[in-house]
Amino acid sequence: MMQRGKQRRGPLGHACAVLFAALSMAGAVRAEGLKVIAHPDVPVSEISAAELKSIFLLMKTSIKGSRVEPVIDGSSLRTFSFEYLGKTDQGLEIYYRSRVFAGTGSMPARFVSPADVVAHVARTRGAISYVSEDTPASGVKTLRVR
Amino acid sequence: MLAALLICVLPSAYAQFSLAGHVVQVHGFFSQGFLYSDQNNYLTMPTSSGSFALTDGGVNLSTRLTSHLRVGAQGYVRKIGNLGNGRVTLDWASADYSFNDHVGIRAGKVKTVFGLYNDTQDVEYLHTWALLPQSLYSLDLRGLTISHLGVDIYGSFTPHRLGTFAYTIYGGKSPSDPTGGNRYALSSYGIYISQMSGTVKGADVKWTTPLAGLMLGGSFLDGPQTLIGKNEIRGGPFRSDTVQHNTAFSVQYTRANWRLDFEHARRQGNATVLNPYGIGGPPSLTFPRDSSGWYVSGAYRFNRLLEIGTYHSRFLPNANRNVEGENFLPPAARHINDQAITARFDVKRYWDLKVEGHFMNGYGDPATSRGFYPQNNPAGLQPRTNLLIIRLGFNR
Repeated sequence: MMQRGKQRRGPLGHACAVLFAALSMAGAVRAEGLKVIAHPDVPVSEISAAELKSIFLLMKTSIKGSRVEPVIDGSSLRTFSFEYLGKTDQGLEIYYRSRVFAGTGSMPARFVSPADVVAHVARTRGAISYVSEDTPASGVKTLRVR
Repeated sequence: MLAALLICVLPSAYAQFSLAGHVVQVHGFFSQGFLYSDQNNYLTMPTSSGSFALTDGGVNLSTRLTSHLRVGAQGYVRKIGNLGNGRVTLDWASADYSFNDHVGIRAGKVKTVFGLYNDTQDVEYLHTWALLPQSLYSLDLRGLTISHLGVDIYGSFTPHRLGTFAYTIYGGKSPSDPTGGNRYALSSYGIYISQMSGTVKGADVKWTTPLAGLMLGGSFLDGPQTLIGKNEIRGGPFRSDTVQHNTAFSVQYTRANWRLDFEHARRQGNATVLNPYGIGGPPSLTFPRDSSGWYVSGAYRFNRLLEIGTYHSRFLPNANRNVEGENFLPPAARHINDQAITARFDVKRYWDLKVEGHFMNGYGDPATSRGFYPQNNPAGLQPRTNLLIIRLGFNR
């Protein structure tokens, strides 16, 4: 009778084990409420989802003639990227880096903490970002997404 | 040696600092590959006995001087077998002024936008593949199409409910690549180029359609070139004037963790060679060229660690037609078909490892310059090549 616990794996068995381990790490994206915030000088109180996408894909750099720039909140990037930009967070990272290495864009400012994001947006003219809904947002305005 | 230098320098290359009130970003990338083939030696390397001679890397700096003006530059070095020779080149260096979302101007040495990936082909981290489909993004000929010294006008429009149109129109001088596959291939026939000059003009449009995830693209590039050199076997000094028109059509569909690409490119033109065979030969000969290539690819990201993909790529020198002087070529010289399958492991945030298999059929004609060279295969090229590539990449 074969003793499964002592069965030796060949190279193919090891490859399958690595592949299975990698596949089992797949995680579902957890939907969570986000709000879009902007520096008080940004001259709008609402923004379309298409405009938001264009700003974060570096294709739109102004609103009503006023310069805008995206700011990344790393803590909720996965949700934002997936729901608003139609990309995985890794896909968005690759997109930004392709612009950087082709010489057609710069990496947006990025922060790990939502509090740091709010503080940066509050002091940077034209900054637009997103944070989880329960993040205190003093010194910035919240934009309604239509 | 080059790999060791890049490994030591690049992980510490990322930085962001302020200079005279401006934020300066520094980014870098590096990759090291291992190739092993069962038949032909590939990409000028002794791959049939295993080769680590695939190393490249780059570093860039950029900063925004005003809200509309951005400047930057990138250096690039590569050694791929006998290509590149570890020579440091200025990859791009430009000033970029954006008037508004619709119009901007970029001047200097600028990456050439052609198809989905021409301007980003060097950075392996950006792609699923260890080798991009060589029918369109040939490592050998990269230096001839990667950039131009001139001006780009670019911008985007978002008509109501029609998605976004992004355009680039450009013109300038085309680069010379003394260590590329074109010259390497010619040298195997005793032809040595001493001078190369040319111009480039073209346009690229990418339409991000209203259908979520679907992008369509079209590119056009005209690049007349003049080569001056010497045929050491037959003839002596010669001059070649080449006219070439390049077109590409691209489709990309991304949805959730899927990405599907299709691209087709065609190069038409001819080369008129003065004094091709020296005294006693004809004063000039014209060689027509009409090559085409296409690929279809699909990739799926399972999670942060693993992405798996496959592509099928076909290159047809002279569109697989008989042309004068090339009738003697065997069938395997009339195409390069490549079926690739890749597993990409993003082992850490800035590190990735790719394991890729290629199952190739054919090797192209003498003017193809795509991986297969007579001087690296003195016993003769074989019709089939199976190739394993393992490539480690870093970027930050």
